[in-house]
Formats: sequence, C-alpha cells, structure tokens
Amino acid sequence: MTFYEISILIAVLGILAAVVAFFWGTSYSTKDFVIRDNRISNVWKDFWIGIILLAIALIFPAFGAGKYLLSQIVLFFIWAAVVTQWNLIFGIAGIFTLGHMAVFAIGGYITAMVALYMGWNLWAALPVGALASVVFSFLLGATIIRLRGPYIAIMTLAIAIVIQKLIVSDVACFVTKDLICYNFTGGAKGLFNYGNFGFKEWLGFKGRIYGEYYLALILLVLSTLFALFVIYSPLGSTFRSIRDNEIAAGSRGVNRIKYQLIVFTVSGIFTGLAGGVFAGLQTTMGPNILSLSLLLFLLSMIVVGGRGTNWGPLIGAAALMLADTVLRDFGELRVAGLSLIILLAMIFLPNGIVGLISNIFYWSPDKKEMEKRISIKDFIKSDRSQYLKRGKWIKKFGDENE
Amino acid sequence: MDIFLQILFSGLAVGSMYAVGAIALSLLWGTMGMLNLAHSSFIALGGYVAYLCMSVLGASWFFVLPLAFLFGLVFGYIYYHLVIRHIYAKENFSVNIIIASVAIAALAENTFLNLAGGEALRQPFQFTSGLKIIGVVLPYQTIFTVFTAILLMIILALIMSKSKLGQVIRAVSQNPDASRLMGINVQKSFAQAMMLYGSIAAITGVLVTGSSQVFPSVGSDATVKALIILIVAGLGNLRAGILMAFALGFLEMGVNYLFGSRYGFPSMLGFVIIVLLFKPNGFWGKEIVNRV
Repeated sequence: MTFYEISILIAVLGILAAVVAFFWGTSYSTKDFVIRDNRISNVWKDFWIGIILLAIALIFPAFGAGKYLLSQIVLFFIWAAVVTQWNLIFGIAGIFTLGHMAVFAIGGYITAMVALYMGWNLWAALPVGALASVVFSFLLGATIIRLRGPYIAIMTLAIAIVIQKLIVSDVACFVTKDLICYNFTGGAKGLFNYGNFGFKEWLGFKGRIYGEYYLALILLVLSTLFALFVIYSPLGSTFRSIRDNEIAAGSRGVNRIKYQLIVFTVSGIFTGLAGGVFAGLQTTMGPNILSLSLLLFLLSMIVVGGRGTNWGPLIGAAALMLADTVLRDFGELRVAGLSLIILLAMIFLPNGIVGLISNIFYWSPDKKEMEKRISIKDFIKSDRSQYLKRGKWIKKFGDENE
Repeated sequence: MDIFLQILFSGLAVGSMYAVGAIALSLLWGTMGMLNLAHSSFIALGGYVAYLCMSVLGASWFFVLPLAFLFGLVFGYIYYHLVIRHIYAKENFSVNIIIASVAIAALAENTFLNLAGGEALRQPFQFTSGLKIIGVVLPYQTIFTVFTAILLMIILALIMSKSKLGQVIRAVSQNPDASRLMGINVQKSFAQAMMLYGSIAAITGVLVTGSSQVFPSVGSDATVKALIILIVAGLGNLRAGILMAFALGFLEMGVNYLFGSRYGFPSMLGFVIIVLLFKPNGFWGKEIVNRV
C-alpha cells in the first residue's frame, strides 16, 4: 500500500466520524446556561455514534488493509484510549494536568517489569500495571490537591519530567542475565525481552496484526464505554459542576478534594491498561514515552478534538494521527508541524473540531447579527423565546438572571 | 570544607541561573498572569545569537548583548502578536497559554535543531577563568551572572515603578477595562511588556549558556525549575523568588554532591510538593480569591 492510499483511508475514516458526529450533534457541554432536558436523547446519540464507529472499526481489516496501516490504526486506538481518559480529568473535571503520560508510562513500565523480573505472562501482568497506574494517578492527584489552574499544569509537568529524568539516569545493574546488564527501569535504552501477548503463536505470523488490532480495539471500546459511563453518571455531573463553578458546587455540598482524587483514580484504570497493552504490542518500553513531543502530540488530540466533549478526544486522535502520518514524510519538521497544529487549533478552534461541527450544525442566518448585539439588555428585549429553544448558543449571551 | 565550598559555589551558579529566569518569568506573571513555558526558547535564542555574533560573524563581544536585546525585543513582539493576543481574548487564558507556550517551546526547539543542528556548541561569550578560593574555583561567569541578576532586578524594579511604561503596564495588569477607559492602548502595553520580557530573557540566555553550552533544548529544565521556584516562593513576589532560587539551588547541588546527581531535581520537586501541600500559594504568596 502506498502512502497516499493510507492517507486517503485514514481520511475517509476521519470524515466518516465527522459526518456521523455532524448529524448527531455530539457536543455536550454543560457550560450552556439553559438546563438541558435532553440528556436521555444524548445518550442515544452517543450510543448510535458508538455503534456506527464500532461497526466501521470491526469490519475495517476485511478490506485488505496493509500491515503498516493496521499498525498505525492500532497506535491510534491506544492513543485514543489514553486521551479519552485524560479528557475525563482535563476536560470534564477541568483539572489541567500534564502528567497523564506519566500515568500511562507507569502502567506500561510496571507491566513490562512484572513480566520481565517475575516471569509472569504479559496478560497476567496487565492488571498489575493498571493497579500501579491507579495508585500513581491517585498520588499524582494527591500532590496537587490544594493547587489551582496554572499551578497544577506546571507541577504535573515537572513531576513527569522528573520521572523521565529518573528513568534515563538509571545506570545501576539490577539483574544480570546472560551477561547483559538490566537496569531496574531499563535506563535510557528501555525495557525489552519481556515477551509479548503470544499472537504470533496463536494466529500465525500473518494473523498477528489482526490480533493486535482487535486487542487495541477492545481496549478503546472499553475505555470509551467507561468514559461515557462516567460522563453520564452523577459522578460526571459532579465533575462538571466543580469545573464550571467550584464555589457554587461547594455550597451545594460537593467536596472538591474528594472528587478530584476520585477523577484521578478513575482515569488511571484504563490509562494503565493502555500502557500495558502498548508495552505488549511495542515489545519495548523506553523513556521516550515521557518526551515533550509525545506529550504535545496527545495534548493536541484533546485540544484539537474538543476538550470536555464526549467524542472530541477520539476525533482529535484521528485527526492528529492523520496529520502525523502526513508529517512523517517531512521528518525533521514533524514536531514543528504538530506545534503549529496545536497553536492554530487554540487560536481558531477554541472548542476543537467538535465545537466547529456543532457551530455548523447550529448555525443560523441571524446568528451573525445576534453576535453583534453585545448588550444583554437588547437581547432580553428581543424575542427571547425563539432563541431559548436553541440552547446551544444561548451561552454567548448569558443567563437571564445575569 | 572543600566539598562545602564546592556545593556553595555550584549552588550559587545554578541559583543565579534560576534567579535570572525567575526575574523574567515573574514580569510576565505580574502583567498578564501567564506562566511562560516558552522561556526556554528565549534562553536558546540568546545563546544562539551570541554564537552567531561571535563565532559565525566573528564580531566583537561588545555586540553580543545589544544584539540579544534586539532579537529578544523582536521575538517578544512577534510572540505577542501571533499567539498571546489571540489566546488572551478567550477564556481560561492562564491555562491555555501554558499549552500554547509548550507548543511554542517545541516549535522553537525544532527550529533551532533544523537551523543550527543538534550538537552542543561552545558559546563564546563567557569568562574562561575563575577565582580560586582555598583550592576551589569560583568561575567569574557565576559572579557575573549573580551580579547581572541583581542588576536586572533593580533595573526592572525601576522601570516598573518610575517610568511611564511601567506605570502603564501596572495599570493594565490591575484592570484592563478601566485602563482602556483612561485612554491606554491595552494591546500596545501588553506588547511592550512582552518585548521587555523578551529582551531580558534573551540577555539572560546569553549569560546562562555561557557557563554551559548551546543546544536546542538548553533552557527547558531551567525554565520548569524557575517556574516551580516562583510557585513555591509565591507568584508575584520577585524578591522571595530570587531568595528561593538560591535556596533551592543550594539544596539541589547539596543533594547532587551527597547522593548522586540523579536525585537533585527530584528532591527539589519533593520539597516543593510538600511545601505546596501546606501552603498552596507558596511561602510568601497572596491568596487568590475569585469572585463569583
């Protein structure tokens, strides 16, 4: 398969996702001041979007896609699973952590280390890695428990950098097997030789990639289901209430510290699993997982897709993987291209692709004119009722009590 | 005694490095409320300008600082008008600018990598010798950086308190809407603050890279460290920030010498985390109260 066929295929996938999202209006932002009574219908929208995307993903390998393309999609599934969980903290709960890649790396490292040093099967090591991630994520949440906004971003970034530095500078021999010195964390060259998921023996050399594909797909589906479950549960409402107005939430009896710890713990589960699956599929685990460019890559998935939305991270991951496949041809300019994408998205698409789609979806001819009216009084004087029906963009003009 | 002096001098060296970073960064926090992770790119800019001026063009050392000043000015202006301005206009500025500045840092790092190559270059604007005290060398570069840090802080304080530019910047930072009603061009004064920041950061970049070498990611560690130092000292309190920079510099170097160089940064971060658990606004920071 040539490069252009791959790009076209991924583009078709992305466009399909966008079209589906377009027709069902995925954006679910409780920043809207109008109380929404269509929560149930949102669940059904998400259900159908999920079913359609899942169907596409399930039959996709049947079209005879090449090995390279499938491995790229496997990577896409894993990153999408990670950013869906990151979005729970970053978008839904509004805690701007940059340390999520550390949680992912801990999951991968612990899985690999348990398999390497204790001789466990990688499948058995997966839950251990996930558990370690949950514990680490809880601790990460606990260290920044009393900090706010930008402080959190800086501190979590510093923690991730410190963990990378500790891994890279690890040179002491932990065990020596066959005259090869293994550092405890693998050091700068990373961990390897810890086995794999055994798809090669099970499905044969040619079928291996399909096993990897469906394993990553299962991971993504479970992760997305879990994220949607959290978003629609009372827990999700609590997270959003803290994000939107912490003081009002506190006055209604919401304990911020408790729920901040809960959201970190909850998002650690599938991040750790994703880390373990990543370690098993890549068969090496190195400190470049914690590099700034990868952090930027995954962060831009959330930002480009639309933070705090249900499908934003998934769409963002698809868009960024496509962009990355294109940029890979330019080699040295890859990081620069990614940075430009994230900057342009932040400047021109503050609500991401999902926000853009819902803007198109809820566009109406007189909206431009409405935007010109800055005064809320003017707005109240005008016939409000017809605008209240379109709750989506009522937020632009504020609450009626304001 | 030797080890103690060694720790003292190297602590002084890294402390001065963090202090000059903290000066520039706290200027930006004071004006716009932004934590600029792209500070590392300005440090690298200063280093590469010095290299360009002396090693490539073969000019005298005399031109290095003015040229760095000029470059910092220009890139501060560009940075403001291409990026910050647009993000400032949207909500959640203080967090969004962190993401954007991480992107800027990566972009700048990649640009330097493509323009100048990845290998570490010797930055020529430096003092090679040092002062010998009881067998331990205190490099002149460290003394120079410490004094420049103090000088920059005094100059910045004078600019902010006495000059019209400083008055305007302070007015805008306190209340942009009211200052616009008083006839101040808010965009322009932010751009001026950003240019001031850029020039200071580029000059500190020349100093900082003098004691090490120049490579694309030269300032990134120092930037994160300077930011967490500012946070633990209390943002908006520059004198406490500088004090903290030296204190944590000594801590880091002490741990480096006693337990091995792996543990310097982690112990520093651990200290900061413990402090912030008990004093979330830092040692001398004011509590930020958001009105509903």
